[in-house]
Amino acid sequence: MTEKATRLIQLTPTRQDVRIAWLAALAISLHILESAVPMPLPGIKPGLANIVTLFTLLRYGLSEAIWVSVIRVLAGSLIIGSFLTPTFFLSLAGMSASIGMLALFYHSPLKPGPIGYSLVAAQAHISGQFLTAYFLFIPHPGMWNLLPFLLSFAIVLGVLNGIITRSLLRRLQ
Amino acid sequence: MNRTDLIILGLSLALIVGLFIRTFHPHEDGAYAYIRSDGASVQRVDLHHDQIIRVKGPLGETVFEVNAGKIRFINSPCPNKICIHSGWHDAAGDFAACLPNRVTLEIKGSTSSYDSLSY
Repeated sequence: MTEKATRLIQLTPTRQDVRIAWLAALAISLHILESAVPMPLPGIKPGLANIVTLFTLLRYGLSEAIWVSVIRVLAGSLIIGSFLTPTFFLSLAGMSASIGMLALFYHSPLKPGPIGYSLVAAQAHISGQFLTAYFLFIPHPGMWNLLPFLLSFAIVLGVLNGIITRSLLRRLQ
Repeated sequence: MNRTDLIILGLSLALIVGLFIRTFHPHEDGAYAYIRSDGASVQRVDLHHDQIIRVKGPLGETVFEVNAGKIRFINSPCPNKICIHSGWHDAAGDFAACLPNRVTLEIKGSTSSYDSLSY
């Protein structure tokens, strides 16, 4: 056999690739765990997967955080079985808005801590989802009455997730 | 928590307060009310024309009062009177019902839109 025929294409994952995969796997697990927990109001979720995104952003930088978020939404929806359903588009809209705002703050001279980033992400996430839900699925004026309540929960849960992220970063230093 | 975090938290809280105020003082006044009985017969009521409206339901007569752009239930033959306790309705998108008598009230603004879409 010639040498040419036996040659294999080898993809060697870098340390960074492996790390992104691990973090994305962790985020997906939290995402699925959450989707199984019943919540008192529709549209409200603790957003535990966001902790992984924040942790990645603050420890490894923006591009890794984007990778982890995008993989989480795509692979997470494939596992739950919601790929290309309304749920998926809501999830995608929330993630895009959230990561967009995080990127904006990351490149700004303001230097928020974990709690600031978490607050920004949580509110951007719910706002992105809300606007998508309003324009694509339920364009009823009564929907706007729900927004202040959703944002109130986003602030409370955003602070909590920020505190969790902060203690996570401290412990792993 | 650093200073930026505190500023973000403060602005977020201010936004919420603003939104709550806006929500409870809706500025789009309703122009019309739609009254339905048994899910079918629709009566379109102009809210700028003061009047008393009587609608027949399975239990009897439900009475509405229209006054200066707003409308309320003033009498209905139901046991709990939840419809009457819901008070005046004037904002577009408001909805109230007397379920025992199968009468519903919906306020519409000048722009009509869909309730929901499904794909």
